[in-house]
Amino acid sequence: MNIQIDFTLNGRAVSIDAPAHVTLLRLLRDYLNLTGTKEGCAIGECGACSVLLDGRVVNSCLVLAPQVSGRDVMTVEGLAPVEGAMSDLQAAFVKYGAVQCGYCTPGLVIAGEALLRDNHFPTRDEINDGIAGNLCRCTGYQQIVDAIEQTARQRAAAQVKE
Amino acid sequence: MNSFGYVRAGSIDEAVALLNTPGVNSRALAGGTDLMVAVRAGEAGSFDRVVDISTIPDLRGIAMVGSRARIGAATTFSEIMRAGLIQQHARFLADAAHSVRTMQITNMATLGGNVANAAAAADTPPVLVCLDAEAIIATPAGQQRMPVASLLRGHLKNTLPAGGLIVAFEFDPLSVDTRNTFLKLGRRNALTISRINMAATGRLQADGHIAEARLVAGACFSRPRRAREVEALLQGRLPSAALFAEAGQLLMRLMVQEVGQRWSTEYKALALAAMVEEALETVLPLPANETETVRSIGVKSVESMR
Repeated sequence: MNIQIDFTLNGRAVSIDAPAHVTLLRLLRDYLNLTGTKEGCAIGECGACSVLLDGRVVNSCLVLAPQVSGRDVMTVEGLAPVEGAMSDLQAAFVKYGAVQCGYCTPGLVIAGEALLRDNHFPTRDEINDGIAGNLCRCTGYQQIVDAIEQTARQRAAAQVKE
Repeated sequence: MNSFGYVRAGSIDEAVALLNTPGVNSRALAGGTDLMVAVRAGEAGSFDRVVDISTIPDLRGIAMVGSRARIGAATTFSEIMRAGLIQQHARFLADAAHSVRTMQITNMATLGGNVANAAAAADTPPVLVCLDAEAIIATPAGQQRMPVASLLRGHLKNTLPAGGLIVAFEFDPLSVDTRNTFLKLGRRNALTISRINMAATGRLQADGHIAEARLVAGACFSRPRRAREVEALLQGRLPSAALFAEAGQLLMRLMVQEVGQRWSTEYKALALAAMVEEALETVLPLPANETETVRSIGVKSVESMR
């Protein structure tokens, strides 16, 4: 049973016809060819499929595609200010060695971004709390926490200059 | 995965009508954090369509209605965690929601869904039962009220009237002199299924005797219920480490009596008794000369026994 889904994706209006029972994750990857969002466990435990829904981080594997009708979705592809570039947080992930195999990275960047929008001066404990829904089997997390912490500092410093 | 349709309800009346359309097997969808997992696992049964209730304005929000606190059924765990009214009047409900620990889940999961799904290890139902909360349920025949305690029938079983939809929960806010706590024992800190969880409230009389204590253990009995036997033991007594140990032993015996010996009982019984002591020490402060307590067994040492 197909259904028309109209929503905002990474700042652009999208209208797509898809079966009503597919998840937002499938819609992004298989119908819209945005493969930055990864499927890990597909049962809401690993966070690899994290996206922002109306600015809040959610697991796209647990969202039914038509649920996003009329709403705003941002994926890892939408974070950079211009296409082909990286956001400050993505650049910090590279700089601090927060990427190894890379599978968890899109989800962690999204979770980190959600945290930083909500809390401009997170402590390391708050960062740990903010990424508690994202599993990484490679890094041991410290480099990821470093990248998010440093991005918070950079953003705060940029605010002061303005 | 089953193929099914989707329809979004704009109001409570519309949702009830859609859920009860003759000849169409409909399933309510709120946060989806249980339903979508069950669908994927092939455990959701077959249905023709989901009725999305998550954006109905009247199902959301937290407010005082007269003297009662009211929480819309589609209010998310994140909204409960942040609500000043909950922090002030029933902080342990916010703590239970926060104990899920991952934003991805708390941003979607709803209070109504947690109750309707009725998982034995669910974190918010013990708190709602401890508060003697009532559920307000919309049915084709009109609205009715049911205590949350009688809505829960056992693991993944509720007693919702056919075609009924939980629209809100109501409870009396805790008095300012009532302390409350939520404890959870799981295999790790984040995104863990409760092995045992516990909600407790306590209030002392001016002379230090126990005016009222309430205790609800989750994931221990066939369904969360107030441990009235333990509450009766505490009523009118002076808080003491010995009394709390007795309370722990009593709840432990009640659990074994009701659910029998299982592979986990040896561990769970000790942990439950220790959690009772910890919860009671929090909500019923010991007199100053009793503050150094030696617990029969600490929760930490139980953890390390696994």
